[in-house]
Amino acid sequence: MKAFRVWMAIIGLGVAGTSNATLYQELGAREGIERAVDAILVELKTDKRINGLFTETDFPYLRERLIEQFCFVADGPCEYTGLSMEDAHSGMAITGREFNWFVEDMEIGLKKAKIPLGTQNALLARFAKMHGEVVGK
Amino acid sequence: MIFACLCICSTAVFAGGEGKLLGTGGLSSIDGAAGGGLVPWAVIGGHGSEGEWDVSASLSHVASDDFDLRVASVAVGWGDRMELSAARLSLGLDALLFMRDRPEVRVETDVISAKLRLGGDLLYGDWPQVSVGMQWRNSRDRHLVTELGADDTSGVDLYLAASRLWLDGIAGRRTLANLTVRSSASHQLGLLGFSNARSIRAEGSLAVFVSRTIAIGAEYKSKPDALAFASEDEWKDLFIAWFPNKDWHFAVAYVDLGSIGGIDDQTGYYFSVQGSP
Repeated sequence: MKAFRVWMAIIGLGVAGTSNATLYQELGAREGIERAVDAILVELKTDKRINGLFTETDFPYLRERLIEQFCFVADGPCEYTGLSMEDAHSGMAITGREFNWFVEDMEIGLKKAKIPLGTQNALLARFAKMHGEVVGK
Repeated sequence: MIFACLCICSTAVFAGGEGKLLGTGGLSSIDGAAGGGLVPWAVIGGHGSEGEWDVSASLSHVASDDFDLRVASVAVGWGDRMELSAARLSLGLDALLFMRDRPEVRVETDVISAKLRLGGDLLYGDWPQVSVGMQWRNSRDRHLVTELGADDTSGVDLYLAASRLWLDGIAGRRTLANLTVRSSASHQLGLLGFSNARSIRAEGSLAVFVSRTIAIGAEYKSKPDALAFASEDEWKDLFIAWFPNKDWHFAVAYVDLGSIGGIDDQTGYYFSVQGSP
């Protein structure tokens, strides 16, 4: 049983480091979010699996909306002024796998923007809640 | 044999699925179904999503103080909905005292498994993924298991599994929890035959992805204890799994298998490699 207790302690490591900062601050506020969104857009544009979904996209517009949305979702001082997720993806028939590939591109972009793994995961978990409003619309 | 198995797999006609997040198809468990090392999960093996096939082959080796168990298995997943798998389990019996005059005696059992995802989702929405599974186990050494006191030489396990992965779980890391309830009449996975009496047992797993590609965790598998000549204990393990990509998975574990065939305190190591075309 001792081995199990040691293992659980290893699994639990890092919990102690949890801070009270909002996710917005952990992402590096406005500046960190801009860096992350830019890195994610690079991944999306070059991802042959899903970049076909963005052939008619106005990227400067998408960038601004994503920055707003990241800030809003992360409890930052922003309003999201874009379409609802359901309206934004209406008629696109996004599949479950396309959603997952988007998540993978977000992971790569966030990592390239040097966002810590726990912060990446917290943000991804909030975006994952939008799955039902995005897929199959 | 090892090589042949993986080569056949890598030339299979199906393309490996790529539509699930890395690691969310689990590993190949000890009797072929996707899950942890010891416990089948509600996940469908491989990384296939809607409309995709996924084929994988795996080899596992468990070495305890007095026994060794070798497993070769193949699994096919379809559409993140159904899974079929076949495994051959081979247990070395050298340690059993009355076998000493017959070295290299192995006892083998085949396991054919089917799993159907009933609903829910591992990652998204409000409900965990729930699957039902069936495992038909058939001993290839009928005389031996009968000699050992088993009532029967084949048996069927039924199980219900629920799995959920939180993207920001323990310590902000991806965390998977699984609970499986099994109805079984197997003695030691069927390697020592089957009983006439069924029992209902719980199995559980907890895994934390410390990075995108490495998960650590623990498992617990309660087992029937119905063989007269030898008591049977629950199995436990502590594992590290590595998913370098969606095609190759590796796992090592420290296992505590309790008493096997009358020999107590069987602890040891588990190694597993899994490949997809």
